[in-house]
Amino acid sequence: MKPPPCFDEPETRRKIEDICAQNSIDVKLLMELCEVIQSYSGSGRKEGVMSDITGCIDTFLDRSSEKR
Amino acid sequence: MHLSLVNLCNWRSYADVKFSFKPPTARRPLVLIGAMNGHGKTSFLIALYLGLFGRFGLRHVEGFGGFTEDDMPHYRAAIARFRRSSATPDEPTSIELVFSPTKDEADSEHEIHVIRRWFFTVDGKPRQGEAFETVELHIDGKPQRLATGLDAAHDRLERILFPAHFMPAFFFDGEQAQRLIMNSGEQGIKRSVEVMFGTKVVDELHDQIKQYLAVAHNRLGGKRNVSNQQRALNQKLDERERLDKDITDLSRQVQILEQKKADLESEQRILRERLARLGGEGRTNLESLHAEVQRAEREKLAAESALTERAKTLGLSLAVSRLAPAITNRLHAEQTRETWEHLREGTRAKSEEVLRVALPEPPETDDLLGHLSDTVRAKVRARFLRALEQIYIPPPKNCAPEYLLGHAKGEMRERLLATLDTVHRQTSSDIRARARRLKLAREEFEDLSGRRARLTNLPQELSELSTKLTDVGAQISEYSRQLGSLEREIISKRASLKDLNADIGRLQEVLAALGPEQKRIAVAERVYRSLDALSQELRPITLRRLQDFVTRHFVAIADKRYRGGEIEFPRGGAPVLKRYGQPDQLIEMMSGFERRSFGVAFSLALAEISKRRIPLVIDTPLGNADTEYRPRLLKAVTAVDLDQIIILTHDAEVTGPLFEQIESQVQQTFLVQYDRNRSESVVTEGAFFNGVGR
Repeated sequence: MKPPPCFDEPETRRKIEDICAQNSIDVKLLMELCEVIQSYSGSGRKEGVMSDITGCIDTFLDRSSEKR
Repeated sequence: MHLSLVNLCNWRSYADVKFSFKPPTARRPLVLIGAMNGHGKTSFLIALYLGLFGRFGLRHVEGFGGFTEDDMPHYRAAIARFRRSSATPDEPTSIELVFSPTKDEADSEHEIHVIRRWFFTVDGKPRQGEAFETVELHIDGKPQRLATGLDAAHDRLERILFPAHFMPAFFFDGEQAQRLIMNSGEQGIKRSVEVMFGTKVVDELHDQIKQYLAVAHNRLGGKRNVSNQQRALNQKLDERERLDKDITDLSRQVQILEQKKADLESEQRILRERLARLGGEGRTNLESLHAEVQRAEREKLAAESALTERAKTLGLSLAVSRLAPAITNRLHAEQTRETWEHLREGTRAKSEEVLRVALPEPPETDDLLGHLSDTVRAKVRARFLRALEQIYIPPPKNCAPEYLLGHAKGEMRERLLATLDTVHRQTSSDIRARARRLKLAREEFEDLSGRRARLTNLPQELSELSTKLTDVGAQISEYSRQLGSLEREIISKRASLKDLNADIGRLQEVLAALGPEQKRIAVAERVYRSLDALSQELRPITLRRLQDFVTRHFVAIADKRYRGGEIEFPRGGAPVLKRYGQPDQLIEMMSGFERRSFGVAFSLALAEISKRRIPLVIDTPLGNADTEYRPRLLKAVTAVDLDQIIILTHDAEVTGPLFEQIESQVQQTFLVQYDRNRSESVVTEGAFFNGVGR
């Protein structure tokens, strides 16, 4: 799924990167979480959202421990 | 993304037609659909509104602006009106739409296939309840399970394409483009831009992470935890929940107040406009206006009298003028007969001379037939005479069989023909001129009388308007004061929330060392803080980008004098044009074409900002625009970087030099013609108006 345009546009992208850096997360995590929200929107079912968010966070934790 | 199929069944004048659109290319994104007025252009546009979003699309249809989505009886009645009148009861009315990704976006976009059907009873009435409407949604060829039926389809389509109330930004009537702003409202537009730009997703994610944190804390045993850090964290989490709730409540109050203020400001503008008009009247001298009315009344009476007099005096001429063509024809026929008779008589008179040449006398001088006996020569002579008679039989086709107007012959007939011609022409043009004079005189009289009546009642109306305007102004000031106070309170609470979030983050990081679940919560807390900051900081950037894009398109389309201007969407106000050294101009107070330019500019800006490459469908983009505006608008529309632009046009619009201007970008043409014998609109692919296009 395509990320929202604000992730592509240079000015907003820079702002997103700054805020993510200040809070010790990466932009990829935010993009993946946005995709989760988009994929459940309008489907009428929400039961998988929590486990998908956990999945994104776990992937991020793996990613950041790999970097370290 | 492009529209690849529109299939309309029993939809207004369309019985069962398919518009199959070829994939556009970068060089040829344009599709032209030609149709004369009343042959099916607007039906095509309305089909997009209702086919995609059903009852949520109805209020964008002309005449249904006040429709609310919960008003099902009106919705059913509207669909019954759009249904083809000759459809058989067992056939539903249906609209099928397919949006396909273009070549370059096959990985990022989906094929969206919507089929919406409406069902009717045997006596042609809309079915009741859920039996009335069904919708099928297929994404990339897979049918979607829609747990909550029509509403689920609506939410899903809004997510994939655009919000329903923003549909007229992509599919619109060129002559009504400015209505987009009036219909959606300033707040609605800003919110939609946030949806299209993606910042709305950020807000939704913010709410979802908040929920995630609540669930995760509960799973860890909530407030029963033993550690001091956990207890301190729980307290702060409770505090945050309260602050969050306060901020949400305050924001809701701000939204309600902003809407009320926007409504009042709109009312204020209308009142000011009326007051300005009346002020203009007020400067007019009532006495001179009265004199003008009297003069106009005299002129009207004179014109009436002139027409009546002429009608009386020309009674005979009028009668003659009505018979004139028949009399003229008869005179011409008799003239032909006279000519024919003269020729025949002339030949008869010359017959003896002709015979003398053919049969010289005496026979001895005839080298050729002199040897014949007298009896035979007499027979030959009689045959010659009969042959000469036959030259003028039968008479010419347009020759009168007899003289009915035999008293008018020769020159007299010529004079009569000339007189008839003059009387006929002069009478009709004179009567027309007198009737025109009467029409103008009546119009002027009615106009001046109306102005005089308004001016007579002016003091009372002025006073009422002034009082109302003062009340509205006071209410607006009060709302502004309340808004300011609420906003200050929100800012203060947000600052407290920021500090609280930092504390929660610190505590959570300490707890994160205890186990994987605490680590996840710590990350979720960081995401939560990031989203909080983002939702505050992305909003002004989004708005600024919208202003820049709208300005760029607007100055390219609108009149030259607006170059150098900048469009602004002020907080709580309507869009304005700002120019250096000039007073701000409200867009909604500008001329019709400038408002239309703004509407089109807004659509193009949104298409660019959203980067969604939604196809643009414009019905009658140029309408009755002047010759300078037309090429500018067409250039702006065709220059925007979109995959597909579908233009619905009549035969006096995108033709001639304008067609040539865009011809190289045209991918496909269609001609829609209403077939009276079949009582339906017929679509021919590859055709366009006669003598134009391909």
